[in-house]
Amino acid sequence: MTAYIGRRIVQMVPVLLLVSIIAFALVFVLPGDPARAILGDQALRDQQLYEQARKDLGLNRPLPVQYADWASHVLRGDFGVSTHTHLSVSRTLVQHLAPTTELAALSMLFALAVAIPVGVISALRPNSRADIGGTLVAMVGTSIPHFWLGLLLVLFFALRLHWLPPSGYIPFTHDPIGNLKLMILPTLTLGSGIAALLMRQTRSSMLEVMQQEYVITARAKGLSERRVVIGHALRNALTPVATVIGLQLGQLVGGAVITETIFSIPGVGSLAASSIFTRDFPVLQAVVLILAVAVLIANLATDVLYAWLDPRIKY
Amino acid sequence: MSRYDSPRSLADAFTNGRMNRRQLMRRLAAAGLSTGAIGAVLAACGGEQSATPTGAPVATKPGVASTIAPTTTAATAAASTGGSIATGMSAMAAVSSGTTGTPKRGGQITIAQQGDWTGFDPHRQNSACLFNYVYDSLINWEAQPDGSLKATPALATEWQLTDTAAIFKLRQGVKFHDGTDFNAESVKFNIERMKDAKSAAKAYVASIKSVEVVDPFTVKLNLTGPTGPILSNLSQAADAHGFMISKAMAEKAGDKYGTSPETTSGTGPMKLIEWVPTSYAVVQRTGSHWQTGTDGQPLPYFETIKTRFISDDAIRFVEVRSGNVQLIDNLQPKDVPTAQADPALAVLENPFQTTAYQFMFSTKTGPFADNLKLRQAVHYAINRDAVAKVLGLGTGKPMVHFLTPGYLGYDEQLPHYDFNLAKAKQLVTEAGYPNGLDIHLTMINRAVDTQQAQILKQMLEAAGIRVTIDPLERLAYNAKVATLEFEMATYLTGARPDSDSILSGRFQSDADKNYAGMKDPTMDDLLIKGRSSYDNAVRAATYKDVEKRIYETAWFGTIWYRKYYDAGRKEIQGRVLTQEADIGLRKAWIEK
Repeated sequence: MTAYIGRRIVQMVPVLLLVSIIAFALVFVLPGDPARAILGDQALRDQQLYEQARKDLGLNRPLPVQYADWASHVLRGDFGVSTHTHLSVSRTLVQHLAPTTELAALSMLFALAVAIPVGVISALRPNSRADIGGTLVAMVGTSIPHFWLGLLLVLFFALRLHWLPPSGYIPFTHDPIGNLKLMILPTLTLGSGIAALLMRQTRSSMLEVMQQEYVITARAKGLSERRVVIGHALRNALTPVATVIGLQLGQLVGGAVITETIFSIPGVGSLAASSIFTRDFPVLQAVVLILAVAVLIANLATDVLYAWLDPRIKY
Repeated sequence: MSRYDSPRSLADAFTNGRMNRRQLMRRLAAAGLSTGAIGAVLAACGGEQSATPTGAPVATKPGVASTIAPTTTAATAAASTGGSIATGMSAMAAVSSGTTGTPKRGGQITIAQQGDWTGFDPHRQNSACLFNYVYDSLINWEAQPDGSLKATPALATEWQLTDTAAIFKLRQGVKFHDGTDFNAESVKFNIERMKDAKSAAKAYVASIKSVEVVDPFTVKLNLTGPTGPILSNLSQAADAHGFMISKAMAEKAGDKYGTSPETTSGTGPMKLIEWVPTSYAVVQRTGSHWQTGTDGQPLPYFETIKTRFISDDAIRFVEVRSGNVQLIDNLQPKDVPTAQADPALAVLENPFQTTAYQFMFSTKTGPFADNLKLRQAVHYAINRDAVAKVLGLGTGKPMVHFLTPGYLGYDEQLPHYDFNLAKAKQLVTEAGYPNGLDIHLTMINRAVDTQQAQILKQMLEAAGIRVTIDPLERLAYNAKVATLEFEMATYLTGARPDSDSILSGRFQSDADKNYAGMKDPTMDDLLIKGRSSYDNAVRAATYKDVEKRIYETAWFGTIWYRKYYDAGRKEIQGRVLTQEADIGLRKAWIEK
């Protein structure tokens, strides 16, 4: 196993190199650049000022030179300075990672807590009312866009019922209750789509597993239905679910951009959105790179999880 | 009628101590003013005095400006009126929230604002929301009880304007938040910084040749010539650029100035204590500001302001309706009726801030570049009333001139383009396109701009001009405008403190906002003439000529404008809106 993980990490190096080149080059595809963003109207008629700003930012150098410079700093853990706020990108990222991590973790927990029980129940009683109801909710969950669901939840829970604050973020360490209150609506918004998908996956995978011979054997041994379902069927049904969870991480990040913007959560998602609008290349490049690394690690974790779920899998 | 018959004279009597608060209120009510208007007058004259710094003989009465003998007649006029400009704004009640009652101290006000802020450097950035609390300017450009805007003392207590110089006497005993003294050296440093290459305030200080320190509390700005808008240019109203920052801090922090509480230092009534970029910022009362409240203690009345960045209009509105924040900026026209119907909310209309929708043609690219008749055809094809009605939802007005009522030189009789479809069609033919033509309309992809583009498309197509709409994200749009690679484009713009800042910034060759790229020597001469005088009559006449020239050249056009609204919880009392992009909390309090 250790050798496998080591091998996978080594394999990540070329992937990361490629990702870093893409992350670096991608921002240059955007029309407009940081010099225009910083100078605003001033750069429109004053070409000299614009050229000077490009020079100050190092944007007039050839792209490979800029990349080499950027990559060598990144290897030393230095993502540079934001062209928009003049703050250290590393510091800004660290500041914004905590809310996103919390939001992603809570959304995934919520999704799992809802999807697995509902998926199992649907599978055990196919075509029952519970199954049809669950399927219906799942269809709605996958169909509703985040921004719309978010706004509806805010209107209902914050404006009509006054149960929860509409938006904002307080760090957990400052005020745990306040933090959780603020995280409920974003968690529902971001988690619902994933819950729906996982629920469908759990259901179909459970249906398949329940037909397997070892389930019949388990029943024949006289085990309780509870042990049959949880101990024998579910564990095996979860392998494809784990795959979906791994794949959903990218989706989670995409959803976080919108969810964080709606609920004004100062996370990596809203940082990515604002850095696109301000052409804050150093921040945008760092965000893309960090998220790519996160997805790579998540994929590795999923593979390791397989081995735990299914002892037959050996690396 | 008594000798105190106008609200203005009543206010003066109160400010001069000839009348107490109760007498003033009774007289104002007798003069027929509503409760809200009375409150506004009270708030405007403050019921407050400026704290006199230790042993400093300074004139602090608002409206009493110059004590140094002016050297020219024109300067006398300007100095004695304090550089006042009538804005024609109707009643002060429109710009302040209910201000009856005694101010109470303490509490936190949480506000939500639409625009993100890049930092706290007023000279290099345009994120004005809290600047007016962290910083002071030399001059305050303030609304007066009669509805005019006027220069009143702030960090400068007296001034004298001549053809070649502006001399300011400075307030003594003022300290920056970092503990250093505010003095003539600070002013010299700040104005030179506003002129440097990285400054976004250059247009406002362009006529200042150099700065001389006369003595520690007197500073002389050498001018290229008489500069009509000099006082408003150095005020808080100049796009919030005219604020004084600590020289010591700016030298220590360099380019990092204003990037954190540790690198931000002004003389304002509040200091920055926390800032999480893209999320929120908090300012806290210093307790040592020179402006004092009715109780004689330094302003402001409350302890902290927390401002949150919420770009989504719907969420911002929900935040204030639910009471989670107490004040939001930029209330959208569609939400105004709902807000007005909500008993917990007070909707404020800011007559000093408008949003105007306009358009321009590229002088380089496309069929309009060498075709005046075609440009005129577009001007005639637009039904401005219809656009204002549909998009303004009751808050919009058609716009036919670049100056709005109240600005120097505004005259509704000046020539302008009215909707005339027959004439538009005829001009398209005369322009050489008997079978019509295809054009591109470039715009920034925002909700109202998009709807507007769709309406314009229909209107122009009726005149034979077939339109392809090119919606772009803001910086992509800017890149096109910079290279003039568009044919026709729409934009929106806000209010400015003076006719000069509206017109010169847009129509002078190479001006920042000259999106069309027009270069017209006649126009340049007129604009220079307009700002090179202290005589409002001369300036007004010149700006009328500028409007005529805009009409003749037809590079730029107007469509409609709308008023600016914000919404606050009713517990916030005593707000007075006086300028663009301010939330009017300097004298406000929380009614518990």
